[in-house]
Amino acid sequence: MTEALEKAYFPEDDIDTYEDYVFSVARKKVLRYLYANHDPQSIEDVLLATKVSINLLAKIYIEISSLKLDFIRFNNDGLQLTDSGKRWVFNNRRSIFLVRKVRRGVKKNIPRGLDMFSKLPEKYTLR
Amino acid sequence: MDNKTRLDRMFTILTRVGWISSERYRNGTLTIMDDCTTIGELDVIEYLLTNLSYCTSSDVVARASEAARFITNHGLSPETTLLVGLAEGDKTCGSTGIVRAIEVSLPSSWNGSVHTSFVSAFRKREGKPNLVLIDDFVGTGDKMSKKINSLRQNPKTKDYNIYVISFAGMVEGVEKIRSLVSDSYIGLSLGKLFTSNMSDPELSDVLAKMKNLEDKLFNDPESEYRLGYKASEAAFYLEAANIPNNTFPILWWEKYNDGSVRESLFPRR
Repeated sequence: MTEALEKAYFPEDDIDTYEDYVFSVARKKVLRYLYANHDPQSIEDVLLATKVSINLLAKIYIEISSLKLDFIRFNNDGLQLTDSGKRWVFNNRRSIFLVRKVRRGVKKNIPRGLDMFSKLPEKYTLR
Repeated sequence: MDNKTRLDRMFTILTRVGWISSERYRNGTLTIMDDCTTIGELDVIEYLLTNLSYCTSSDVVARASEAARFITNHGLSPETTLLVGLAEGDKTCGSTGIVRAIEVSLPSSWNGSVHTSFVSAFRKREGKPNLVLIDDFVGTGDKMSKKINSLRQNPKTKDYNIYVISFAGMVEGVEKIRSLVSDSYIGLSLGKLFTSNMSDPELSDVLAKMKNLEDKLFNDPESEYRLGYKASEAAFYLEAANIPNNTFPILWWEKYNDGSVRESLFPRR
């Protein structure tokens, strides 16, 4: 069943496209979670709530920090969107939350691929 | 070390090392995170990953054009020179990709003078006096010096003016071959990651922690792969190439000491 889903919904043999799909969904989930929480959130909480991998979370953090350094903050207390970060999310809510870059089928299948402790689909990890 | 500390440290490492945040390294990252049981071990991994020379195809293009300049600056021409990779027979070899990149950076007049292995080049030698040996990585220098010595010992090949080009190399390995050849071009020179940059007592502490991590991979305390082949301490990876065995096995070793499978950060064949 899973194999059939992957065949139908994941782009064939293209890990970059796969990564783009996964990243766009994960970014949406993480921003939504951080926007909704005012206090700093521990990495563990963010991972458990959004079910993204730690690699993706780091990639999202790098991407947002590169837009403007004070949009997102990470320290001993945890991860937090700053006020200016929240303003940026609000002002760009259409492009962040509403644009559907993924096909419906892919979106449906993403949560399994995004689970914090899950592995990449086997077709990408042939060893 | 509690889970929060481990995740926070790993997250910090991932944000500092841009390339590892890619999804393709997800499984390898989880493996390394699981392997580390103390803060000290995570510190060592952080030092390794932040100082690892991670090279992409852009680096290959840049080094290949520098290598092409090295060739022309030495007055080497297709009429007098053979460019040769270190492949043996029909086996795949890391040198082949670099040979091709250099070939593309040279004028088209070189077509016919570029070969992936010495055997095929020797058939078309046509009395050319210069030989350029090309490899992707010089580790201990043993493989390259063995090749050069065997050429020197053969009466048919002993008179070649030999040059060496390598995409990257360890300083010690390069020193070993430098005296054997007319000149060499090494795109990226690498020292021993810990030994070259630290001194005691910090050095022994870091080496002990890395050996602790490696104990999870090897049963043999005297394995020749500890800290990389013959303790090379290399920290280097070229995308889409085979990671050299001179690099730390924590990056590519695919089994634990109990025989179970380990999903490494980089594949090695």
